[in-house]
Amino acid sequence: MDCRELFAILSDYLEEELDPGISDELKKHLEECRYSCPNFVKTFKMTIELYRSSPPEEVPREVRLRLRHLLWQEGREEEL
Amino acid sequence: MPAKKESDEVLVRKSKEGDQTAFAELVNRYESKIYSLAHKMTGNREDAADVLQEAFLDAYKSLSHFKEEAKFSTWLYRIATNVCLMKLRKRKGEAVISLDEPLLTEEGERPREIPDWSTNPGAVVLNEELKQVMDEAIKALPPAYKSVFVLRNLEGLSNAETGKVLGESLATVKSRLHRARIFLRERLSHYFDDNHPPSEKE
Repeated sequence: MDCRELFAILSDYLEEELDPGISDELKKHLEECRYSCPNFVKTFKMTIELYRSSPPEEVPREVRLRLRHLLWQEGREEEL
Repeated sequence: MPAKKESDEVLVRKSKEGDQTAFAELVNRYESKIYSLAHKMTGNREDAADVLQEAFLDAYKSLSHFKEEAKFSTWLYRIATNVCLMKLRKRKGEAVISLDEPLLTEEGERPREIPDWSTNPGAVVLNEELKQVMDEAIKALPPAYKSVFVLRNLEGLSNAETGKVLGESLATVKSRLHRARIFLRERLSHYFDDNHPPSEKE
């Protein structure tokens, strides 16, 4: 496997959706690669974990209220 | 006694019959997810609030056309992603690169070195910095790449689900993801080139 091939299947690797054989080839490339693959994969993986581990953002109160108000209005219009 | 949690399917059916409290429950269930998605896609909170509002209003109005072949969440993500994409396309000065532009040569272009941040002892501070750099890089992604990257990598949808949300084939999803990663890698290396004096690069 070369850098280009690794790159093409990186998301599947991170989601653990690769066939075991291909996954092993990818790991082997990561051990041997003299270019930026190892650091990129680590950094990429860590960033994604950071995003995923942060809870969904809280919707500001005024935004929540406005949304409910608009939906309520929309519902009333339908009834009329 | 707390009420038993009803499935999305049941709530959708009730909403279609005109039960507004059922739809309100769906809003409670998904609003922060949609808001987060919209924030990542648009890069700011005002636009995220607009997207949230438009997406749920659209969903409410077009619920009768929702055939329930897909999951409600997929359908809702699709509406929200489309609203985001429309917003991004309307913006002036948005970075646009051709979807067909070859970014890697056949031999495989050799990217510049990217420092490994994940093993640094000052990880907490760096996590913040890393997230900021990544936020900026994601912001700069062209819309077509951004939507696949956010849905697949940040929201954790599968390739197939991402395809359903975007109405694109699996092959298109994969190729755009690939290009998004190339774009991000380039951005990250630019950041280091600009911010780290040569002496720190050893």
